[in-house]
Parts: sequence; C-alpha cells; structure tokens
Amino acid sequence: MFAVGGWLDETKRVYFQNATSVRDYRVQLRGSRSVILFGLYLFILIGAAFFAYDSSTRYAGGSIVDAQRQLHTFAATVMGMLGGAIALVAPGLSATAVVLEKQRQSLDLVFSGPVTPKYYLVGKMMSSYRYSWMLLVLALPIVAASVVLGGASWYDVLTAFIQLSAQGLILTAIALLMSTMAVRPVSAIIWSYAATIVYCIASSLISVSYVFSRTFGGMSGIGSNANEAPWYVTMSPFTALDTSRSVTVAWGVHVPNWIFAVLFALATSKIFVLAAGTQLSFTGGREIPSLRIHSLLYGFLLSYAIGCAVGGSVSAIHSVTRSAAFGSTPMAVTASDTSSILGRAFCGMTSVLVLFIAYLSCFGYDREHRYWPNGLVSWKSIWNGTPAGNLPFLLMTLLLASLGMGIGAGVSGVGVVSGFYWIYVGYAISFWVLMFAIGRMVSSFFGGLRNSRVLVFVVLIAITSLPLPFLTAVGRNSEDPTNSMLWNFYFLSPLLGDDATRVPSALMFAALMTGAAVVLLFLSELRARSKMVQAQKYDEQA
Amino acid sequence: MLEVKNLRKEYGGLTAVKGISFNLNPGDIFGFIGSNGAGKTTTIRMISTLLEPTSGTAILNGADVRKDPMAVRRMIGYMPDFFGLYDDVKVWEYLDFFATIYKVPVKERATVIDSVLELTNLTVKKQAFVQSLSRGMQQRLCLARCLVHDPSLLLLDEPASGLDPRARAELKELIAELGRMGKIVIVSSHILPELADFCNTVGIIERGELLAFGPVDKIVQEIQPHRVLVANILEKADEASHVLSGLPSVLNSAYTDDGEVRIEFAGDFAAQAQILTKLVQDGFQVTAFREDSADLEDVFLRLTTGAVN
Repeated sequence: MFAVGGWLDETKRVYFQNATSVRDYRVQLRGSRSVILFGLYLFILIGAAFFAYDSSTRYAGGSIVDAQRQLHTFAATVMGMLGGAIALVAPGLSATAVVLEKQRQSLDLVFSGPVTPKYYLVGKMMSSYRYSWMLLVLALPIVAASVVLGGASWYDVLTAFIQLSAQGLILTAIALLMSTMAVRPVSAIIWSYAATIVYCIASSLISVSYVFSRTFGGMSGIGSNANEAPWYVTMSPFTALDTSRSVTVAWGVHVPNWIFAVLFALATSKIFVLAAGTQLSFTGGREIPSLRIHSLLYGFLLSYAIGCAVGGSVSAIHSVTRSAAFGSTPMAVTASDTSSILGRAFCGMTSVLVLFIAYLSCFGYDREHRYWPNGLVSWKSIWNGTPAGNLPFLLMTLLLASLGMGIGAGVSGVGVVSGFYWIYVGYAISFWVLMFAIGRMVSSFFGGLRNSRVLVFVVLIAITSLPLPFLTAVGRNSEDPTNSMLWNFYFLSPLLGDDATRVPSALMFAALMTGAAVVLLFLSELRARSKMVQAQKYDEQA
Repeated sequence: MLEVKNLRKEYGGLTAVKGISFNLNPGDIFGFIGSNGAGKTTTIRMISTLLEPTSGTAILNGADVRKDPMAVRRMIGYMPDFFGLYDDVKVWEYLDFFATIYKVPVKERATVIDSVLELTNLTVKKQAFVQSLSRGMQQRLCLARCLVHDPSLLLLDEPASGLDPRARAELKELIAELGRMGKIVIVSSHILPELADFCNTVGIIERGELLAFGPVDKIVQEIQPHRVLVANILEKADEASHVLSGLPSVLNSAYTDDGEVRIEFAGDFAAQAQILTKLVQDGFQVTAFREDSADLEDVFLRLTTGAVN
C-alpha cells in the first residue's frame, strides 16, 4: 500500500510538479522572443497555406468530385507542412537541452540534489515537447479552414494531430538521447537531425506506398477494407492526414491505427529516455537494468511482429504456389525454404546491432565514467552494465529475439520452424559474438572508450562492406555474380542467394566465426588483465 | 556525523584518491587543503554522490553514498568551484527551482527563500536576474541554493576563489555562522590563512593521500612539538646562543649570521622572561624577542612536496 502511494507521489512529482519543466517554461515565455517566433511561424504557415490552396484549386475541373479531391490535397498539404514543422522544430529544441547544461556545468548542481535521471529527462522532454504542441495548436485555425472548405473532417484533423504529436514525441526523445550523449551542442544538433532524417525517410517510404495505393489504385488499401493498412504507415509526419483513417484488423475488430501510433511513440520514447538516463547515472543506477529489461522485451515483441509479418507473407506465397502447381510441385515453397527465409530475415533483423555492438563490447574510460574490465563473462553482471555482463546480455537478446521470431512465424501459419532456421540463428549469434570479440580486442589496445567505439564501428563496416566491390568485380561476367567461387569465402555469403543450399555454408561460417571469437576473447582478456596489472604497478610506484 | 571510510577513486591508470578516511561531527568546519590536482575535488564529488567511488564509502548520518545516494543528497548542499547559473532566471526563481527539487513543501517555499536570502544578504536582489549579480553575489546565491533544504553537510569547493577581500570576509563570516548552526562544513581552499581563521579541523591531501588530519592546533603541534623563541642580537649571536644552551628550560639553540638566535624551549612564561633577562644581564644587545609559532602554511609546506597526480 505504501509502495503504491510512494509510486503515485513520485509519478505526480515527475509529470506534474517537475521543477525542470517549470523553470524552462518560465524562461521560454520570458520577453517577446517566443511571441515573435510563433508570430513568424504563423505568418509562414498562412503564406504557405495560401500558396497551397491556390495551387490545389487552380487546376480543378468543373466536377464536384474533382473539387473535393483538390480540397483534400490542400488539407493534406497543410498537414504535411505541419509535419515538416514538427520534424524541424522538435529535434532542434531538445538537441541542446542537456548538452547546454553540461557545458554550463549546471548538471552537477541538479544531480547533487535528490533528482533521478528520469525526473530530469522527463522535465526536459516536456519543456521541448510543449513547443511541438504549441505549433499544432497555433496551426489549428489554418487547419480548420480546410475542414470548413470540405477537404477533411474534424475526425481526420484530430487523428492527424494525434499522429503528429506521437511523431513529435519520438523525435524529441531521439534528440534528447543525442543531447545526453554528445559533448558539444553542435554535434548534438547534427546527430539529432541526422537521426530525424533517417526516421523521416524510413517512415515516409513505408507510408507513401500506402498513400499512393489509395490515391492512384482506386479505393483499395492493403486489405479488403479501403482503410485497412499496417499500423506503421501512420509513422510518417508528412502523410498524417492520408493515414488518419487507416485501421488495422485485429481479431476481427477494426482498430484505428493512431492508437498503435500513440502506443509505439510512448514505448519508443520510453526506451530512448531510459538510454539517455543511463548516460547520466552510475553503473549501479536503476536506469541500466531498466533499459536492459525493456530492450529484451521490445526485442522479443519486435521479433515476434517481424516473425508474424514474414511468416504471413511466406505462408501466403506457399499457398499460392501450391494451388498454382495443383498441390504437387516443383514450384512449391518447402518447409525448409520457409525456415531458411525466416533465418535470413532474422539475420537481417539483427543488423540493427551495428548501432549498439560498440557500446556493448568496448571498455575503457570516458571522462569520469569508467567501464573497466571485470572479467569476460559474468551472468551476475548482466543488469549492471559492467563489461563482464555485456556478452551474456548480447546472447540473451539474440536468443529471445530468435524465439520471438520463431513463435511469430509459427502463429502466422508457417508452423514449427525447422532446424534450418536455428542454423541461421546460430550463424547470426556467432557473427555478433565475433564482432563483440573484436570490440574487446580493440579496447584492450586503447584506454579511451570513445576511440575504441569508433574503431569497432569502422572495423565492422570495413570487414562487411570492403570485400563487396572486389567480389562483384570478379564475378561481373557471370550470369549470377554471387556464383563465383570467391563469394564462397565471403563470410556473409550464407545470406545471399535464394534457396536453402546456403545452409551448409552458414553452418560452416558459424563454426569458424565462433572459433575466431573464442580466440579473440581469450587474447583480449589476457591483454586486459596485463593492462590492469601494469596500471596497479604504476600506481604503486607512484 | 560524517564518516569517510577508505575512499578511493581510480581513473584508468591514475589513482586520484588513495583510500582516505576521516570523521566529522556536527559543528565541525573542516578545511581541506591541497595543491591543484591533489584529490580535493574528487573527494568532495564522491561524498556528494556525483562520482562513484572505486572502493570505500562515506556515510552521512547513517546513509551510505553508495547504497543510498538519494538519502545522502537530501542531507547535503554542494557548492562546486564554478557557479553553473542559469540565464534568464531571477534570483527567487533560481532558489524556487532548487527548493522544488529538494521537495521543500509548496507552502513553506516562499518563507525558506526569504530566509536564505536574508542569511546570505541578498534580499534586495530577490527580483534581479542571476546574470546581473556581481561575482560575490553569485557566490552567495550559490550558497543560498545549498541552504534551501537545511542540509546537515555543506561541501564548499573553493568558495572564496575570485572574490574581492570584502566578499571574502563576508563569506568567511557566513561559513562560521553555518558551523555555529550545527552543520558540518567541508571547505576546500588554497588560501591557508583564511582557513585557519574559521576551520576547527583541517586535512592536508597530496597525490590522493591524506597526510594530516585533525584540529589546527594539534597538527601544528605535531610538526612543532616545542615552542620556539627568536631573539635578534646586535653582535655576538654565537656567544648568546652558547650561553642560552646552558639554561635548563632550553632544549636547543641555534644562530644565524644575521644575528638571529632560535631557541627551542620547554619552559613556562616565567622561564621565558628569564631568558630575556639573562641575555640583557650578560650584555647582549637584544633588538627583538618573540615567539615563533608555526601556522597552517608552515605545516602545509613541511608536509607536502608539491607533487601532483
């Protein structure tokens, strides 16, 4: 009972009585600066809306349908501009939120008080996110014009606003993480906008296909219902209005996609804030275990979702090819092929570890933080963020993700995945353990954590991509470039090609990479230990 | 009560603090002395929970900095050697921000802010912007910030650096007042005479090791166990030194070419007077006669080598 009361008090304090947010709010609204900025924003938005309206209606034909379509285009354009404003402003505001405090050296003052990283970061996030909301609220009269003109309904506007808010939240959280990690404001801004660009391109590529299918493909969405579409089409800030009516059919119920968008935004921003929190806390802090538990959970759920999607597609192809061949043959997708496809999908999915492997594998010191080797493998250290717990954490993440994908595929109609899937899982695990071992080896040569991380990233990109131009050049005269003998020596070759014949080479490379990883891990541990002994000797001599 | 137990901090191959230990009681004003890079700030940051100790710990009123940092933070006020003030914030807003952070009840906040402003003599600047304050006022505002939650321990890192003599004197008086209020105050500084004035305990740190710790008098006595008298003689200082060596209360006597005789002495004031009488009666022309008492600076220079980490 007391625990619940304490939690409620703390939650109230974090979200409703946040000192950081109140202070920033006072500063933001002080003087005429904010009035001028918002005035300028409105002026530009109104000007752009007039221009869009003129462009949309100029070429309208005489029919009502045509006029209606043009008005909808106008509404979508206005909402797209609003999305652009959110994508431009949200990261910019939070990118400097923490890094400027670091530069001003005021973080120490705050964290010498009873303040958790969560309290501080949520306050910072609210301060920045408030601006996104202000942008939306200020744009309401202009958006209302498109409702009055008949280009959109209030429901469309409301759901589009909810989607834009969700995207603003994600972009704010990403920039906040960058701000926590960066040392200088300029680098925080650059990284934040780079991440925003990647997010916008990726989300727009997904949702634009849906929008085009609706606009030019007659009435159809992806399913039988005109508005049916996967929930992730709502994640682009530029197509908020067009995707506002989209729904996902779950267990026979049409669930509006904006609900998924909000849930996804909350979950994503939470993990970004947790990651930012780990940058501001000790190794023994609550943030690292929390981040790790969330990562495992999200990894499992994401893999499950991908397993469902890939499994669903594969089983659909399976049934189509079976009926095409009247149940019997040569064209039919076999269970082994299905598992092999799923296995390669799993390997592809783990490529996201490119961003994290350097963080997991490297040790050393970084300003006042120190991640010093405390052994090679320790399951006890899995939650505290020390180097010995990182390999078990990596293995646990990959195993849970593989289980999630296997279960997802099974649920979607593929059935129980065969051994081929697990061979690919083993291949992926051995590849990432080898990368981890390279990270440990690099760290044993360097003292600074940042240098080690950058070098690991460079090595990873180099050994995976550098052979590609050479191998492509060698095999360019053959019909299938990947058929050259040399390709068989490329350790990513099991992921190429389109059948299950690559499985034996996956098994072979898995064994080779595991062997190499074990040797590297052993050598790096020896080096790390001797380095520590040297440090102790130096200390004693001093 | 503050117990610092074998506190140690390593950065890679460098050990900044090598297992230091000391205890402080309420009302103690502890002067933490050391050269730049000696480990003062690192120690203070570990006690303030901003830096994780490699080993060892500090316990404040039963709360461990490693096991329960939040409880420790509620009881400390930390003033670093930089201001870290926010722009565009008024003095009362700045204090209100920290009062909220320290969970000072809303109803009491205004009163608390007024009282700390009064204590630090900043009441007239309540509505001023922090960037408009002079350096001395900003320093006092930082101290006011540390006091909003009535902490048991104050950690002041180089509080007097960059202040003019008047601001320095005011700050000194303020710290002494805080000691009288029963707070433990840890002050790190380079300005030794200043510390000797108001600290009742000092610690000397070099290369991360605590070389001496205790009341100022006791430390001084440790490096200079006997009283030293100095007599300036116009001529024949060597003879005077020889004569004094024979007196029962004189432990040792030495002279310099410029006529100064240094007498290590173990007697009372009557015996001290007799020394002067003896010199005069024997015809030595005494131009000065005084006690040479060692101070904190002598102790510091005697104990340290000037080496840094």
